[in-house]
Amino acid sequence: MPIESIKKEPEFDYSRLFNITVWEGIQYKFAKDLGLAIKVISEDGNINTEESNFSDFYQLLLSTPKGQKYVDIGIESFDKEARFVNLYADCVFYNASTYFYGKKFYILVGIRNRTPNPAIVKKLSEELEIDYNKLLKAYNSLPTFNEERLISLADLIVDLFNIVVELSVQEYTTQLANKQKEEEIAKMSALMEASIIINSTRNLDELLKIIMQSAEKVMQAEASSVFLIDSEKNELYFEMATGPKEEELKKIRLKMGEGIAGWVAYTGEALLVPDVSKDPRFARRVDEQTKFVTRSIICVPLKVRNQTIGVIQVLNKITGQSFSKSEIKFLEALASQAAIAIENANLYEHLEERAEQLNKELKEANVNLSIEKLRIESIIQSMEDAVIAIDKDNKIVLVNRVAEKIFNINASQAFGKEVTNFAINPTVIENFRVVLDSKITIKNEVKFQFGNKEHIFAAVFTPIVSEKKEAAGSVAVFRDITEIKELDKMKSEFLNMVSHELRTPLTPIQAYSELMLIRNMDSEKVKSYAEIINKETQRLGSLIGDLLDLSRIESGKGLSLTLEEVDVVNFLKEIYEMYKNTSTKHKIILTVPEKSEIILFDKNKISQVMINLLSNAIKYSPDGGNIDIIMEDRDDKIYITVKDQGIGISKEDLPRIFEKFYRVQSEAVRKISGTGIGLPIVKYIIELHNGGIDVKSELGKGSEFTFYIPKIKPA
Amino acid sequence: MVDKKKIVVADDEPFILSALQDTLAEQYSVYTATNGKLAIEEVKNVQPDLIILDIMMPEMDGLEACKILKRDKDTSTIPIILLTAKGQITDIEKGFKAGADAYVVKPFSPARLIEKVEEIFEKVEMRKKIIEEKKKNI
Repeated sequence: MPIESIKKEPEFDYSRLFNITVWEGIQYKFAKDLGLAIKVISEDGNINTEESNFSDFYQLLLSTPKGQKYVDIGIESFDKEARFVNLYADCVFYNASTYFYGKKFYILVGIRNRTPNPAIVKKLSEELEIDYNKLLKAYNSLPTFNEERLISLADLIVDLFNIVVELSVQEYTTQLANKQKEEEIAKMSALMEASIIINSTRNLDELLKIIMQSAEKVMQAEASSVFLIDSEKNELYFEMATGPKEEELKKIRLKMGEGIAGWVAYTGEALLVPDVSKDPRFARRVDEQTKFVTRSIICVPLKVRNQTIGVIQVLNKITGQSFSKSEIKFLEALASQAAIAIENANLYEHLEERAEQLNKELKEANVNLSIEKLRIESIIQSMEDAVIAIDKDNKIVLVNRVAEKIFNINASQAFGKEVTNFAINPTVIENFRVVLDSKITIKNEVKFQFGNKEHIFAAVFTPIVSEKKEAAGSVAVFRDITEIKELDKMKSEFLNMVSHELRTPLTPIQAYSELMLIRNMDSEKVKSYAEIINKETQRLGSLIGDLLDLSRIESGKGLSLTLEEVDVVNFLKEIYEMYKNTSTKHKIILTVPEKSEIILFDKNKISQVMINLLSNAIKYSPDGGNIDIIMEDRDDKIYITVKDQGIGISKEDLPRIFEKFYRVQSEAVRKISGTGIGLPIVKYIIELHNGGIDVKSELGKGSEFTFYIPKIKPA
Repeated sequence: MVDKKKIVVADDEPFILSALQDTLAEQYSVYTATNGKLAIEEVKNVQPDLIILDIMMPEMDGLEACKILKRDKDTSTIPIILLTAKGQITDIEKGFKAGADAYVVKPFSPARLIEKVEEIFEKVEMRKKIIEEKKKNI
């Protein structure tokens, strides 16, 4: 047998569609009006219409049970090839056959009494137990037709039959189409319903349930289930199942590729299995566990963006038939809706989680923010710099503690008021205006009175720019750089002084050495020139020494002491000798105790101290006078005082004179050269000896420097 | 023999003062002062041909003295050289504003100083001649 014929569906028997009721109505009409008897018999005998015969004879035959059997004609009762057939009691029927959809129909049209035969009637009445006279009378009254007329009537009847059959088929196909349409509509409305629900509800369980109910209803299935893929374990689990075994099913997990669902999940292709018993892929253990009997399955993948996330399967048609291919399409459509639902639900779940997370973070952030705000506020408040912020309408929004002080405004009162309402330096107001207008940062120095003195502030005005790039305000920070500026000034003055001080001895050195070179002179002159050069060189050396000392102290290296045994009185006498003739205007007076002390100190360094103090005494008493050097021996200390009658030091300057580079800013002092490094070095050297130095002075009444060093006896 | 030209020199630093004196004494009569005030007094007494002033001096500095001398009819025509520290452009500027005719940078070279002094005297001579010629023309 050829393979194709196995697959071929059995040919549809359209004869079965023949609307026998309609035809019998037509038969009746013909019989009644024309007196014709008509009967239709299909070749297989399945269709056999009741004979329409209204003759008295026929009615008499039907009136007895035996007579009924007598007129009961089947397909085997007549000669199919004959043009005229005698069916009963010698009645003649015209045999008009026709084909329809490959099937032959016999249409028998009668009756014609050819030759009335009483013998036949006699025999019938006896057999059927019907009164002979009655029967004969009815027999004789049977209508007759001539043959020709009969045949033309029969042709008409055949035509009519064909029409009825055709109509019957058409009616069937219409009905069939309607039925399919109805099914389509049902499916469509199921899909519509699913998609409406998908779009209106976010509850995944509810959605899946509705989708599966739709599938079951439309596909007339016993059960259905949704599996999702657990990608971590590479397994399938029942997300949802309907039908009687729901609870048991939910406990089951399938491996990828296991069972029909596993297979579909693995391949991503829909699968129709009409009979699971014949499919090796079917996982029997699920049925065994759930005591469910699976007969046929449609299973389609659930795909989200082309990735299989699970499957939907529908089991067993209630009618017992297998699922059809067209139902795969429907389930796939449903699956795509379900996939969207799952995706949406997941999305919403994630969104909800994310929203919750955000909410939590926001709360934390708010807490952190207020902490941060407090922190920043306290930083701003405790800053050493002044901070003022204004909004775009020039209204003060922030004034910190230092700003309150230097601008003499009260923050709580100033808040929300225009900055121009306050007695703030016009440069500051102008800067705020420029920053607001041009959104640029301004950095400059602003000078204004604060306290009883003019202060210099380094000011930075920064625009506060909103997200829309609009100026929302401006914040200004002021740092008091008065001291830095002073220090700066002191430093440059120091440099000037140093260069002057260095140049001063250099000038005679250069001049005399050149004179010695370019002039012829006697040896006495040469000697005197050389002496000057020598002295000035020493002066230069000592100045450079001071500078080096300072740089050592500054860099933290410090100075080191070379202690030696020194007779203090002798030491002072040497110093006195060195200075007694330096100035004609000054009288140097040395006062020492009778008894000297031999102690340990760094002779060179204490000489340096004495030279510094004496030079200062001479320098700062330009009008001359006495300069006293007084030594006192008290307890465990030696006190040495250098006292002059010079210009003195003011109360304000007194505490600062030991600061490096510090020089008194007075007209008198300005004209006296000095580097401002002598006294700091003096103080350093004395402290290095564990000693101390003090100064007493009054403007115009001279100065008195006293230092002490501990008496350290040689071992 | 022509009388030596007179120069008043002022500096508070004794060795610089002596160096100036020793440099110039061979050719000129040098009178010294140790501050601006004294220098002015000396100028008025001596009526010198040239004044050399150190800028930084006690009592009265060289700039101040220079201004005063230039404002004074009796002394305004006497040329003044200011002694200035090297690189102190502001001092030089101030010096010219105060009416100084030239400046010499410390430390100075005696030879250069003499050249400068001679240069100034030549200029003065030239000016004198021009003025005299103008007078003759008139």
